[in-house]
Amino acid sequence: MTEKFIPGSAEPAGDNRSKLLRQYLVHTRWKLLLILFMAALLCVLCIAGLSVGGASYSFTESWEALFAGPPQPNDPAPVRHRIIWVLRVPRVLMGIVGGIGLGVSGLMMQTILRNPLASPYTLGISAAASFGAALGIISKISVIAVIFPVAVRQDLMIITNSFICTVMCTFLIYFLSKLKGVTPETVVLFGVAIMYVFEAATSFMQYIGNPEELAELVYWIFGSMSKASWVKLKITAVCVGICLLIAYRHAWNFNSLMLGDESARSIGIDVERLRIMGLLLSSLMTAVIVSLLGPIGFIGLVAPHIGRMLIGGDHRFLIPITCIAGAIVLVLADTLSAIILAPAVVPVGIMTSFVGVPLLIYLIAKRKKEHW
Amino acid sequence: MKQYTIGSVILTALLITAMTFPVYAKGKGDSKTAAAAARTITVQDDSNRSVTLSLPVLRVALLDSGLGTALSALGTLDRVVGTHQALQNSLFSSIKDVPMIATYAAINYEALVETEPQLVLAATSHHGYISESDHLDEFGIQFVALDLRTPSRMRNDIRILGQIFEREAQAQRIIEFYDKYQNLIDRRLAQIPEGERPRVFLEMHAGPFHTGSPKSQFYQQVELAGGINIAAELADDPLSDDIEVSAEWVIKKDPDFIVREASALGYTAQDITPIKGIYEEIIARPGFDQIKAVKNKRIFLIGNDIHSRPGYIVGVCYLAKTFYPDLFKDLDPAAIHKEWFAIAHPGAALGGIWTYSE
Repeated sequence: MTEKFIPGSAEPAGDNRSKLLRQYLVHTRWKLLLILFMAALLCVLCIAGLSVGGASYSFTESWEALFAGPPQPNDPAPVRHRIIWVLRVPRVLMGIVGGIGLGVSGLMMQTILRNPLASPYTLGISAAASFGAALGIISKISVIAVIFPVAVRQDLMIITNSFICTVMCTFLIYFLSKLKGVTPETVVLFGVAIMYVFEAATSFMQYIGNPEELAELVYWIFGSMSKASWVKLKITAVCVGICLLIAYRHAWNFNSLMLGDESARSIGIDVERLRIMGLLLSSLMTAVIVSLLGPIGFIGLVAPHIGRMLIGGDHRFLIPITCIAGAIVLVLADTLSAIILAPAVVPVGIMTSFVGVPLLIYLIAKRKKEHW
Repeated sequence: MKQYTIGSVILTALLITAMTFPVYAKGKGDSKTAAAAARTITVQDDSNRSVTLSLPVLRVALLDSGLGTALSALGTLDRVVGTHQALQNSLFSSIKDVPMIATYAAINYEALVETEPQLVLAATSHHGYISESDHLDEFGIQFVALDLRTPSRMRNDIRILGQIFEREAQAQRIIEFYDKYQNLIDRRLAQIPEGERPRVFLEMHAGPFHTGSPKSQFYQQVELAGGINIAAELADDPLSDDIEVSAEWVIKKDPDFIVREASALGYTAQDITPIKGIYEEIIARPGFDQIKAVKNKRIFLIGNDIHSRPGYIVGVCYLAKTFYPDLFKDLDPAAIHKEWFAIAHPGAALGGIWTYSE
């Protein structure tokens, strides 16, 4: 094979190509190794999470119960086995699934809006979900029933209200971001403003509630992993799994979108369709997680940044690493929340910030260059 | 292919919504069928749940402070296997080694189930509220939610606890204690015309300007002591039981007395400084120097445990004496407090700081 010379280059083009290919492969291998390392770290944290919890069982007792397997309905298994399998295992698994969902949700919002400050929390989406729940708990108003003449029981009202409010908020942000002259910073300002409006509306709901309703709402607003159960886990896992697969199929398109709308369009991407799809996916994941666990802030903001700093902006790798980073932060926060003031359980929303903020600051300080 | 993507997202949303039904279709409030027990009782709790319990109830977990006092008064603290953070003090030394299963912020469900209670006694509001009844259902643990804060509910709550623990006679003695002093106060107040009764602004422990509407747990005590609660006009207010009123509203109402419920007061209170701080904060509020209550130094601070808990009747006696010192000249609230304390905490000496005025 005849080698071609590139003008101005001392090396043949084939050498350049193979060198680039080698560099690419090394880079890719390194990224895959990093993802594997993070996955291993997540496994270690899960083991820790399964070993300690609200009950006073030792490491050995916890693992003995885990190895015994899930007790059957009429199985006279010791209560320890049932506590571990009914309360602790779904809690840890929910930490993984919830962390993945919130992390990817934040990533997609940041990518679609090309804004590093976008997240379900900063854009007011969590606040919208809380307001939806408050409408259901206190006013007994079903947003679905307003649209369709159907009777919705109150328990279901909370999840549907919170989902609809989440989607409405997401699209409000999206349409505001399309206004002429709106910069990424302005979008976040819109988000913060919307967040305040929904928070004020939720506070008003709290104000008009009776003590029973107020207690229910306060517990709902206190995002907590103790709400996890097997049924909720299955629902969340199916939702997050499907959304994640759809999102990952568009990893290349998200990469192109990060280069700008014109660049993306020039290679045949329907930018509007991609944005709407991304927003729907992220609001769906956020709505399901928030409506089942309550608002858990910060993961949607911090996980994508950790991912970007570790692995760069290629969504083929960024999506998996963000998933793992989100799961790590939530599982670690949940484990610490169970042990730090044991036997008291600290609400996980407090711990996610305590865990995530130092990690983010450390990574930013260590990197010493812009990652966005 | 791409055009189907949004459709598939919407389809996923519908799928998830449909899948969510089973979470809620489980029937949260189902009461368990009593398992071949010799005796059962059915009680209607303060959340309007009908709960059938097998007797005897020998293992119980508590999620609120008032429950600790009530069980102590019934002599059944030895059946407590899990407690609330509020009960972790020297007044409840007999259960100091019992695991703590709940704080003011959250319930530790793993620790709660680990204690293997037959029954969980919960609150109807705020801390001690069972948020995840599914978790208890999974383990066949029943719960009864009781208020134990509002005077009008207190007798019924005590009666329910008496039935649950088969201490009906002791429950009746507690109710008679309430009735004895309430009847005494009522008899004497009967001679006071409505127009001569003092007008009172009650501030609950949630903080400055938080008052309780007539629906709340904090309203009735003032009226039981013969005062006119100026929050009466908030009865038709569509807003909540805990209402934050404005300084202007209070100044305009010009109450004769200000009663402040303070959680700093009680059995564990030793230092008067923070209590004085609350008093001084009230009199220093802008415009309050125009209020009769402040001008005449008629500000009365009272601890939660003798105001909106099972010991409420003691607080009512203190308030009655404060509002009508001449009418209740012979009424000794401190002695009544001691009497209550002997019922509620047999063998314990009454200590701490419970009220404050100048």
